[in-house]
Amino acid sequence: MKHDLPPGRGKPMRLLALLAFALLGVLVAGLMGLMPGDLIPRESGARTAMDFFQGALRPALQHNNWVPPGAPSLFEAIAAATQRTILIAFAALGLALVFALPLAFLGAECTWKGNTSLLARWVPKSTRLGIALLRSVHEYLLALLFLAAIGLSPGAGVLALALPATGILAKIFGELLDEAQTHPFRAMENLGATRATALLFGTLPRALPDLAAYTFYRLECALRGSFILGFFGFPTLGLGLRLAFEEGDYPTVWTYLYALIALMVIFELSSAAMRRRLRS
Amino acid sequence: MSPSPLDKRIAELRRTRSRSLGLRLGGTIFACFVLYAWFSPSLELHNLFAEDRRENLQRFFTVDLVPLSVQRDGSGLLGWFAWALGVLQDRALLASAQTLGLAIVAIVIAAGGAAILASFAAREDPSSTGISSREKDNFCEVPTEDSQSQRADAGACSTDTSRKASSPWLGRCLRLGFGLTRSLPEYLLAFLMAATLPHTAWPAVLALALHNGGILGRLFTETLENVPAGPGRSLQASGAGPVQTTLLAAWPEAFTRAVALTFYRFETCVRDATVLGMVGIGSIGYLVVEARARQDVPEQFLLVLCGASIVLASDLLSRMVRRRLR
Repeated sequence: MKHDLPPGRGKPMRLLALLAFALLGVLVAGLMGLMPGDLIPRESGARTAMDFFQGALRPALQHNNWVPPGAPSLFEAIAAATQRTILIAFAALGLALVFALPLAFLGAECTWKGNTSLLARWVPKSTRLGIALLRSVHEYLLALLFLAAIGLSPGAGVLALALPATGILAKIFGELLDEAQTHPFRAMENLGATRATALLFGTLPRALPDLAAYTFYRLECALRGSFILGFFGFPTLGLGLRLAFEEGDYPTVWTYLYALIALMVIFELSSAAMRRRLRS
Repeated sequence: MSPSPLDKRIAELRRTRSRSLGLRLGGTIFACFVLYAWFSPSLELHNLFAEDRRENLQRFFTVDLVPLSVQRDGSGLLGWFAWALGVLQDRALLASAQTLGLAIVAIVIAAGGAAILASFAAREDPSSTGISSREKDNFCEVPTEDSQSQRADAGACSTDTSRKASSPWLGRCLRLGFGLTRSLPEYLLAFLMAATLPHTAWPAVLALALHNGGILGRLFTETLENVPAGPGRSLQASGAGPVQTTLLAAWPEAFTRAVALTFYRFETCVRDATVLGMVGIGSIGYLVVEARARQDVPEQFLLVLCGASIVLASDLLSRMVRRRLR
């Protein structure tokens, strides 16, 4: 019966590897001065935590602090910030999509298969390198750089979210295009269609449901990113949360948190529904 | 003039072509939102191309980005090198190492926790859960491991409702928990925890570990549910309990894929670790915020480059490991 088992590739090595993995974690934690004792909040921290969690039960329904007369009410402010959060996410993803699709085709294997020219050897490689570079800078770091470069405007936030999103979308799109069914593509090529036509009308429609599903998932990520951009001064939900937190106004913090949770739940449910419909 | 048979056939094909309501509806809604975001006055995006923005940009590249020391003595490339080396030696290298450390500790905690929890969250008998054969095929001949896992984390193959909900409440709670920790931005978690915990790197580590633990938990659960049922069944037939079956049949089958998934998350972990320092912990993000407070744009830029290079390096490492595992 022994030969029926999958070839055992050194099972004891696995245990050793696991042990080494755990040891590495402990070692690095020790090097960084991470002691288990510091996981317990000190007295002041515990008080902050208590106040914070008490805020969960009584979220603010109006401004707790002085606001200039004529300022929008808390709910109006949150609604406006929510709208901007959503719009920044959509603007960024729309921009990313425009650039990601051509990049995906340039980097995909299926575009260049059977083509032995010099172009075919270097274009996909350099495209993939470019995609990796786009992805390598975190969107919040980019946001800070853009703040310095073009000043505080929602546009800077949109660009910061869009660049890494372009990278990741292009990467996944390329892989999805490569995995798509090739029958229509081959049929069209055999009938004499050019490579571009066959890709655009044979391969792309096959991959489209998957591309759309992934885009919807990225939309959730963009939404989270757009929320966090507020921490750096962009006018999204995060801005209000941060300001309230720094004033120790935890009930208001919780109002913002509930707004975020509601937004995320609504988005996740609708994007899950959309994805289910895409697959059937 | 009556239509020719060819025209008829074309018309018929056109009528019967597959149309996806979800695709059309989703695409339309998406396009509407994007167009509204770009062309309505609410975000003032047209202002990106305004004159003063362009001036800002020009000043940024010609003045702001040049280090003070280089500006002062007008030294060319050599001055740039000296400055960069100084910043690197002084703090940037240490911060890069700390960032990597953050990611390593976080991924160890996340993978360990996820492995334990996923063992409980996985539905017990994989053969009876009605996993569609397509999904099983997908699992067996995973075309490209990384894209597969990245999309799995998108929930593309998990939201299927055809599975029988035969799980006890514990598994259901765990799976809900995985989803919850996944959907909260880790930066927010770190920010909230930094206010309550003593001043160490723990808030960043915990935030990263929680977020990635949620994602890995779900991916591990799916992996465990999708392993071939044979070994587990034969263990059960010889009297093994659920613990023994999971430990001795399911995990050995799932091990390689779990390692690949962990490395895939590690890369993302490093990327997120570069910014988590912004909540006040020594790492690249912390130095970026500090340099920003000093309005030292060139240092900010150099630090961002440092972050990018460790992300690229870990990307390379993770890709190599996963290729070897395949």
